[in-house]
Amino acid sequence: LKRMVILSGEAYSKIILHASKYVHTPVSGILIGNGTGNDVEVIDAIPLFHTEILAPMLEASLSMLDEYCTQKQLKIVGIYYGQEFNSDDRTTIVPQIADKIRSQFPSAFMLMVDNGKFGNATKEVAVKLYSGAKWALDQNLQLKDATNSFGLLESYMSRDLQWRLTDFEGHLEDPKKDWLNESLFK
Amino acid sequence: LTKMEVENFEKILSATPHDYTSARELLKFLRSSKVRRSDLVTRYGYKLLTDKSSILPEIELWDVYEQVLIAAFDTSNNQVAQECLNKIVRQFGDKSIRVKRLLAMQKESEGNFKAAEAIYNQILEIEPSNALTMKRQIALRKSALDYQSAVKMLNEYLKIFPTDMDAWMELADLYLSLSAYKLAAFCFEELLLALPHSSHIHNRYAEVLFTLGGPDNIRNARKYFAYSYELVPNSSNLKALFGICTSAIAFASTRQGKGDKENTMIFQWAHAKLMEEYKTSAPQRVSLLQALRLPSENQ
Repeated sequence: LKRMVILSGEAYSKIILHASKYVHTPVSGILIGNGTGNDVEVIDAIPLFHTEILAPMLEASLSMLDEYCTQKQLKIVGIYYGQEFNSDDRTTIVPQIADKIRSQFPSAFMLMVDNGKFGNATKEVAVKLYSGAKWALDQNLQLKDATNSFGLLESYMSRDLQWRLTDFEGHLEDPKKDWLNESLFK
Repeated sequence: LTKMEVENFEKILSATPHDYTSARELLKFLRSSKVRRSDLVTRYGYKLLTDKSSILPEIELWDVYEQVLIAAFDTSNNQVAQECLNKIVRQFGDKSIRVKRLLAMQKESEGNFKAAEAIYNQILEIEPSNALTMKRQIALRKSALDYQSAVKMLNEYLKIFPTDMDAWMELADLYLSLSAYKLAAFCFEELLLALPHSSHIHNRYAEVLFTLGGPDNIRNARKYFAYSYELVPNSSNLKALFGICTSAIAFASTRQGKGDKENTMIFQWAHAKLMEEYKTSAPQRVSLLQALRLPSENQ
């Protein structure tokens, strides 16, 4: 029984835009969604950091996201991250965070930005899925409504929307900027 | 502040892309602030150079060529890079160290690390303490994912140039990427000695202390976050306020911190400040702040 992770176009776009905005540093964020039957539907991606993850701001953002999810009847389902360099397989503390998420949501997973495919992100899925006890590579990732989703990302990038995306770190410097990016695509 | 400046320039230039005076100002600003916006430099810098280079005096012209060249490497714009490099070599020849370094950077951008390394070694034979070249060698190690070498070389560099604060920051980041928190903390301690009024460094040091964990580190983290807020007590420093809150929460969960009145008070003060700020700047998120709570005393 294959468990699929179904990534919405909106979540996928936010991950790629976040990584595009901060190409020279590691990026990370949280994925929210729901379990539907056997699968996991990822509804949104919340960009958090463009520096190495450290505990205090991670805890602050996770606490607030828990509350946000409760309000929206969603769950924290995974974490995404990207490294500056191609073929950099350092995961730093990301698996530990994914473990913590999994203690609350057993189907939790990790998504890593695939730097090799990043330049072609509007045509092929430029993230890799990791799951299981040892966070092994998992092929069961699907981009929801792929043609449409790729088209949307293409239009967002042509409009340079990555410069209007705010992550939690950016919000900490300017609270008027929304780290949940609710009106980014409107 | 610098980010807002950049954003202002961005707004002006996207509305009026032929505003060459603003483009020139932006490039000047980016050169001095060292903010990395290679996309803007490639776009507006190259336009300035091709359309209106006459407004630049000789000495600034070549600084801009170099700046656009490096930005073009950064954005993988090989055509722009080659054009700028050709102009620079035609003007200055290819024997100077500065030009050699740019040629080596082109090799780097092509992924030809061996050729780049050979040029850097050449330069260091002529000028053994050429700081910029030493830094390029370290950058090469990073690109090659050879972090242990990068750390070793950066430490050697800092023995020669111990007051290079950018290098200390780079080393701190490198240690953090290797989860070497104690070593990262040491770098931040050096930075604090040199830059005792930097709220940013106080925050980062506090973050590392908290990550190291344990009641003493957590209580100290809280103090450094608090001091950071003293240095910059406004809405651009929410990290300090959130830091105080999470440190206080973590401290209250330890044996030493449980029921500590000072801890409780500082938490309530910081939390109230956050609420105040959110009510004006992010009213739809006020409810999320309620998730930050001290553990109940009965636990």
